Amino acid sequence: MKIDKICEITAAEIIQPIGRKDVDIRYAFAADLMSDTLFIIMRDDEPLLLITGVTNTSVVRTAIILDIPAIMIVRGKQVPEQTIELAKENEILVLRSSNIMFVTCGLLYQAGLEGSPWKIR
Amino acid sequence: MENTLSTTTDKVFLYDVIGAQFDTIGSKALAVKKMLNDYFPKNDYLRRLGVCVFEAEANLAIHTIHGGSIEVMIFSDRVRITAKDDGPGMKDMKKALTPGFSTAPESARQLGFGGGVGLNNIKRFADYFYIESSKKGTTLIFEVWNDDDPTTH
Repeated sequence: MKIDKICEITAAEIIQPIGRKDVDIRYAFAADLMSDTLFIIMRDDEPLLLITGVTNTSVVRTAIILDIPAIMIVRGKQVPEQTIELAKENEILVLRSSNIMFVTCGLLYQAGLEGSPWKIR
Repeated sequence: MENTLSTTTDKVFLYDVIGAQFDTIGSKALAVKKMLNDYFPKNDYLRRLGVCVFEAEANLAIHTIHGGSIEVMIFSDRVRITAKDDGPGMKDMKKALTPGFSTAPESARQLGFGGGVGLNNIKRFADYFYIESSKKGTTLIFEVWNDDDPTTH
């Protein structure tokens, strides 16, 4: 699913547009605990969207470690400038929706985005 | 390949982690991942290593008084990480290795850390795992092996 389509479905805006805007997202994972996000490591190289309410720089670092090309911030939260700058430097797209996490996930799932596969190694 | 801790490598890198500083958690892990890309340009391997270093770094930043160090030793078929600090150590190792158990402060949890899964994440992804802890400090050693090398495992 293209980034523009994701934005359309979730009524999201792109607040950091430097990155792989043409990426075709296949999976999504939602969490506010970054260690839980680090659990999804075993996925293949299929592009993944990270959906979270966390807005500090650690969310960008988590995305970089996991090769995640795009982050969706939910609940319309303000994102600190340092977070945007770090995302820009590393070409991680940052989207923002005013929907809550549950609704954001529901809309994207209904539209065909799959949950990230993961397994205990 | 014998599963012993060889020390014959000259490729050793050291990273310092500042204690009680949560907003930079992950920065050393990123530096390590980028540096290792020259040696092991393989996404899956670097993700596994990156996650383990990320968790070790988070533990040093959240649970130590003075921070600590992360030593990265590069071998042809594996990377060994040694994370060390000088205290205060883990009061109950068994509990510390139990998923969900955490002594992290609320300020760390608000940043998305301290959920009590860090050490378990390392255990899950590392091919070798050793930890010892006392009031004088904690030493965590783990290795992640490059599965491309047929001599490992």
